[in-house]
Amino acid sequence: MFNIKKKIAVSAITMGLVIGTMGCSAAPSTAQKTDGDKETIEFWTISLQPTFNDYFGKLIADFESANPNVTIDWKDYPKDTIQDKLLTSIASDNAPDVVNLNADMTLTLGDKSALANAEEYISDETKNSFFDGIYGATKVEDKALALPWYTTIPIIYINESLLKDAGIPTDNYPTTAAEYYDWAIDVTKKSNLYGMAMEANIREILGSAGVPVFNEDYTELLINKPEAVEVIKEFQKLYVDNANPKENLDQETRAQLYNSKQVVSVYSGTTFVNKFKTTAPDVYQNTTVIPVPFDHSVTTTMYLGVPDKSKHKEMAFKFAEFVSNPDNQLEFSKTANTIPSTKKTIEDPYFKESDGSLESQIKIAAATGLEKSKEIPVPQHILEKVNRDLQDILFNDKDVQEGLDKIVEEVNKQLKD
Amino acid sequence: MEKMKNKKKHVKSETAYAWVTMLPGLLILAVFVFWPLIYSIPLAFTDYSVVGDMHFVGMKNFRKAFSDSDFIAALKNSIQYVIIVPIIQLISLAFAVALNQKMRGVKVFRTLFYFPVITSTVAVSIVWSWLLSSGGLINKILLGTNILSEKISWLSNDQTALWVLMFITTWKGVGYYMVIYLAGLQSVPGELTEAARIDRASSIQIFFKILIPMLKPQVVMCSLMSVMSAIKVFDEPFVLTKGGPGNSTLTASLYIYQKGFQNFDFGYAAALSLILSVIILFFSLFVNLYNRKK
Repeated sequence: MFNIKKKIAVSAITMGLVIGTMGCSAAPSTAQKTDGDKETIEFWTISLQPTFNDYFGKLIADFESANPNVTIDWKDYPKDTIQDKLLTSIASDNAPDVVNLNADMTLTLGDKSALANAEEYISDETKNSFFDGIYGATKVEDKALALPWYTTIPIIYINESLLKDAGIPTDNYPTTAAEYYDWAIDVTKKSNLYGMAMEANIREILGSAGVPVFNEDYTELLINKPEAVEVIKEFQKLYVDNANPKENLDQETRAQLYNSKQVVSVYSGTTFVNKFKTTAPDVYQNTTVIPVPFDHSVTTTMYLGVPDKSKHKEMAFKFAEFVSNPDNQLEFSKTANTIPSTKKTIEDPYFKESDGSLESQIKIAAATGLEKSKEIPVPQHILEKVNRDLQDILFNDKDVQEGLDKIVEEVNKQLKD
Repeated sequence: MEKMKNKKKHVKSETAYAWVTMLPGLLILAVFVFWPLIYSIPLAFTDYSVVGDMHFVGMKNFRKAFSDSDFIAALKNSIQYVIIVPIIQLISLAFAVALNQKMRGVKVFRTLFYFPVITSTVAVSIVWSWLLSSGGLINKILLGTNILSEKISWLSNDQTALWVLMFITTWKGVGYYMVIYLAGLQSVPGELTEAARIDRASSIQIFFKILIPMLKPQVVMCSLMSVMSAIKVFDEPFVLTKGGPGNSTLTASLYIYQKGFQNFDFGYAAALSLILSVIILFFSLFVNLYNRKK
């Protein structure tokens, strides 16, 4: 029979090994971020690896050679997890130095004073290099929460082969919202497919019509005002006539519907082409694009923020300025089909010349939309709640005014708390 | 006397060995379960948001919870989810009885029924979302067989969304309880059922009068686990609907997660989780008392 003392000894050694390996997985402290004289800047992005490894490899190498005492540690996370990771890193006093955020996350973190004020660190030249509407979108009380980086402008993708199959002309596309909605309903009736796929997102629906979502200091939701109700009632008709799918139309779902030819036109950003270029080449061949037929183009901009708990704020902002400068934004636009947030970059001939490809059409249509662009940040938790309730009203044909009044009452109460 | 002393020494050594082998697991539980559980109690009385300063707010979070219409809606949905408990237990039991027979291919069937249990909830939810979409296979079949006259967006319709999630949870969970019941059935003496058959008892009588009473410990345990899982359900609404449309699929756990990790309102989330714990405790006590009475 195995000796008890031996059993205890073996178990104790095993336990020691287990506890020892648990200790090895602990995250490094910020103190370790300085290796000798070298400063390490931790840089987080959203879903850019491995597709853009070459671009960032060169970008980082250029910055490091211009700043020999700096090492850039680049990490990439999916959009759904980056906010959680950022929270836990801030809580454990191990915040990254430069983090890629969308406008909603920027506003949410800024509301908790989690981001450093960019106005204190960046030059006037940098401040003036961005489009005012995009730079100003994340300014709260004269505090700039982040630097704009790349943006996407929405455009309309249209599968012309589906129109031809249904006997619908392809030489006369809508130029206003009303025309687009009527066109989509007509396409649905003639083709038995969805005429359009546009997410039931309060920001897109009202922002496209130039109707405000919040008041200026984000203390009151305004979506139940008469002009907002009118816009949403018009949008509701698309569901009544089955022209817009009653689904949660995130980008993946829209891509799935477009790739499988269940929908004729899609409202999406410039990077949407990456979703069907290789997976549905026949759809790619038959796609054309038009600028959004709305009063405004609601942009989706990515920003670069520096957490207030970063121990290297000055160098972090220097790196953020470098990443978002006009030249680097031009290179990124060429690589990723994005639109820049800097005024000088959009003047480049790249955004005006066409080589006949779909990508050329996209950038020209998007550049047209930039003139009427609007960035409308909404705190993420508010946006999710409002959109959930809005979908209930739209999908289930409920009374718009009553539904919006209820949403406004609940959200305004939350904002007061 | 000497023998007694040796026996006591042996028992002490065995006990020490047991503690040493349990210690790593207990440490992990202590760090990842017990400590957060205990820490959430004082946290519920603060406005902790991770990135800001923490202040004591007394009972504010609890008062807020009872006037929070979203939380009330989430609780109602979570309690409605308990409806699947008797359904999932009956189906699991029926499958276990069927698969307790000696027949060809029974091991293949046992494996197939257990497959949904071991597949990732996220992967399963994504596949179901495709099947249930307005252009998905389910609608195509139902329209093709004239059961439906028009497409239904199963997950976007506030009348059907929660029931669909409950169906997916049932589908995924049946295999898990089936295995537990199968193990229980295999410990039921065969003579009992044989004797019942000799006395001309029907299969239904054998099932209800012999098998279920003999499986009482398993039934109690599975019912308890099932009730707790139903009230705490998170994965399916998180992946498939995010609580929408409206609040029709918002469950308590999902709402707590949203409050903590999207609103950064950890103090309030801690208060909500304490309230949920009390409700789960109440249901657990009810199940235990009910089974004791029987």
